[in-house]
Amino acid sequence: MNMRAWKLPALGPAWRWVWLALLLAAGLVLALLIPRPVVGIIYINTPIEAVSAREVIAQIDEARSNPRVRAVVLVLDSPGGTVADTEAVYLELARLRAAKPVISTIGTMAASGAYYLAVGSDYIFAMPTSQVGNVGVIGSLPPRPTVVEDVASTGPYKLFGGPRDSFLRQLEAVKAGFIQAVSLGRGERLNLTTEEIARGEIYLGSDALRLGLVDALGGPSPAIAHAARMAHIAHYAVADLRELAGLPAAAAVPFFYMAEDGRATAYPLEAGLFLLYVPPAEGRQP
Amino acid sequence: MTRRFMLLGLALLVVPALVRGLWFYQGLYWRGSPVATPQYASFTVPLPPLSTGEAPAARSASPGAHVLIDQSHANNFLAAELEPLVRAVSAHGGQVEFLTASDSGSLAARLAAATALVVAAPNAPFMRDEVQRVEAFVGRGGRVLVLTDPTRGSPQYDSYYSDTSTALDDSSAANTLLAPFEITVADDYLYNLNENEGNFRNVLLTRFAASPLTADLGRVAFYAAHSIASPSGLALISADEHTLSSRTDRGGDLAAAVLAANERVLAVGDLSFLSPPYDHVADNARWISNLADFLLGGEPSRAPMDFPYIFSGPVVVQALGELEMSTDLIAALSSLQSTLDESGLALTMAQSPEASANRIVLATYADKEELAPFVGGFEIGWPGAGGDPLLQLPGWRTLDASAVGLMLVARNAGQTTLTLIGADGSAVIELISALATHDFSMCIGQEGIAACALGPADLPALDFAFTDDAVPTLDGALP
Repeated sequence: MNMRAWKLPALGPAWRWVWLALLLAAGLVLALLIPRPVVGIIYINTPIEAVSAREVIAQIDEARSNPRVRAVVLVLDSPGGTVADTEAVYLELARLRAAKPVISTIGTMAASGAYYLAVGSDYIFAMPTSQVGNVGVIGSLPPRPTVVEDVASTGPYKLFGGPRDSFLRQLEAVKAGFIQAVSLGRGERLNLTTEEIARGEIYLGSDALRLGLVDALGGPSPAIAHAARMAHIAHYAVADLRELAGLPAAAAVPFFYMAEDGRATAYPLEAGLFLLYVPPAEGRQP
Repeated sequence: MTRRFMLLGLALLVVPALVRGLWFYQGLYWRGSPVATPQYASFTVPLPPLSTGEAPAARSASPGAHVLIDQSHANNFLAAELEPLVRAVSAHGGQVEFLTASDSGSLAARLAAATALVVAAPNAPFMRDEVQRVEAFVGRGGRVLVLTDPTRGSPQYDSYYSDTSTALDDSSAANTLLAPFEITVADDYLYNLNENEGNFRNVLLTRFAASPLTADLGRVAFYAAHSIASPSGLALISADEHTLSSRTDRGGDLAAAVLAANERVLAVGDLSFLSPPYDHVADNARWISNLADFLLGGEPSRAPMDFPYIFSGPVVVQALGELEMSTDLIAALSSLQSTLDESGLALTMAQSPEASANRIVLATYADKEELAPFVGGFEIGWPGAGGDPLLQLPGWRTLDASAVGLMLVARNAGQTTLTLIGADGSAVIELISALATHDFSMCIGQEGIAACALGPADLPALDFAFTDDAVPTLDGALP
């Protein structure tokens, strides 16, 4: 084919400028199709239970599938929650981290299950007085098996779930997973032995920095900036992933046991295994 | 010209996107290594060490072995929780009795019948007189086992200020009993984060001092245990250096069981190891069997005031000399028979009982020669034949024999002899009545011997006191 056949038809000067203007307009339109990158924020400021975990996972899904979202910041202020829900969020975070950086920033507290999620991120910020750590598992032992006359069952543990001793031992298996998650997440940055981690201590943010439980002191702003740096983006927008995911405003879900006088205690409403920090000042158990 | 025009057009088309792209995106996020997550499938529930099975055969209990289990000090345990220990004691021939707060007899009174005392998870302190009686009980050869447990405290409510509670463990109350024996239970618990029995507070203990109590033990498991200290006692079971005290987060030289007071008082920091299923973990079954042996090994000497518990079987009454079997004496013996009958002991009369029989010997000071086989070990200075009314007991001042009767208890090869001696028949009857009614208000006594003022209230007759000299115990065969 003769290349000359592809020569533009001779245009007058005026038409040339029109044509260039059209190309520029097309270029600008094309440029506008390139989205402004977004650092997505996921707020976890409630206990981690079935509803809150489902909503966090929805936000993680949104972050993973939305090309505009180039990095995610977890803003943590939680005492932890149930084991299974925490692990579910943790594993979803791991999938997200494979594609996009995830940074955590700890407000008042990231204890137990909330710290489990923090170690599932690439970098952790904390305030100097944040409460950090409390690695471990708690749970109320099931009642001693007895024969219940009015409730028929088909086995000795159908009503109780298992022997009390077995339940106690299950805590150890869950704890092992938690400790390995901390070891994997913090790696060589950690200045605590496995035994020291297993003590379940809760540290001030400044101490946590010294011990390698967090990476830097700071709040959401440096966390967002760090996330952007890791994602190699600039002039980004910051968006609440709850809104991007189209989730309604968070509703309060009953999680803690309510005392007879109406006060919420620090103890879970239901029995089970928990990665949860229970403040000792609460005193009396329900 | 056309080419330049095309390039310019292309630039106008591309550059805005390029500028915008570079404005926002300055590189690509690239993760060097995959995200690692825990190997959840590899985490298994830890199982307890296999039980060593049935305990080796233990020796039989001595006749009359009687273990008293205290439940009168707000003890925080259920009787069923001690079932493995009770079963072991019973299997070896011992008797077990619980003392609850609602029982009529006090701890001091019930100790008279016991050869061993078990105190588990007390939450009320022991009173001064109780401690003294337990001390005396141990001094006589009784065994005491104190089981404490950090999980068996009681909440102390402070509703006035905060409506919150503070859990006080059982160490405070236990220490009120153990202090005279130089044993202190710490208000802590032992834990081991490295090697444990399913939980950090369930410790495996492998360091044992040489003792019959630790025979055949290789490893026992305690399920939350206090540490116990005793400067003069033997650290029977100790923790390794990786086992720490919750009080200090330090380890080393922490004992979980201590033996003191001439190996008569044993304090253990855990109670839960006794309860199923923990009684069959590691060597716990053997440990429990050894504890039962310890409890059955006590054979405390008896004082006359411990009547009728000084006897563990049928009793024969034997009258010496010319003691007249008057109606008053028969009535007194009948009353004595009823008292013994309430304790399940038969009382019979015999002139020459078998040598192996438990017996009550009745005599007057005049029967000195016939009494000799029964009182030889007491070194009594008898009233003189020339009218000297003074009676001399070793370690005592002289007594007026005409107004004082004696009760002497001697044990030999499982046989117990109670000898009642008075100035005459009526004095002997008064001594029998004191036994039958368990009224020793006019008596003063110590190990193996009691002197009782007889007749109308004549307290000056008891114008004597103990001296510092030790009272010899009867030693030697009885007829």
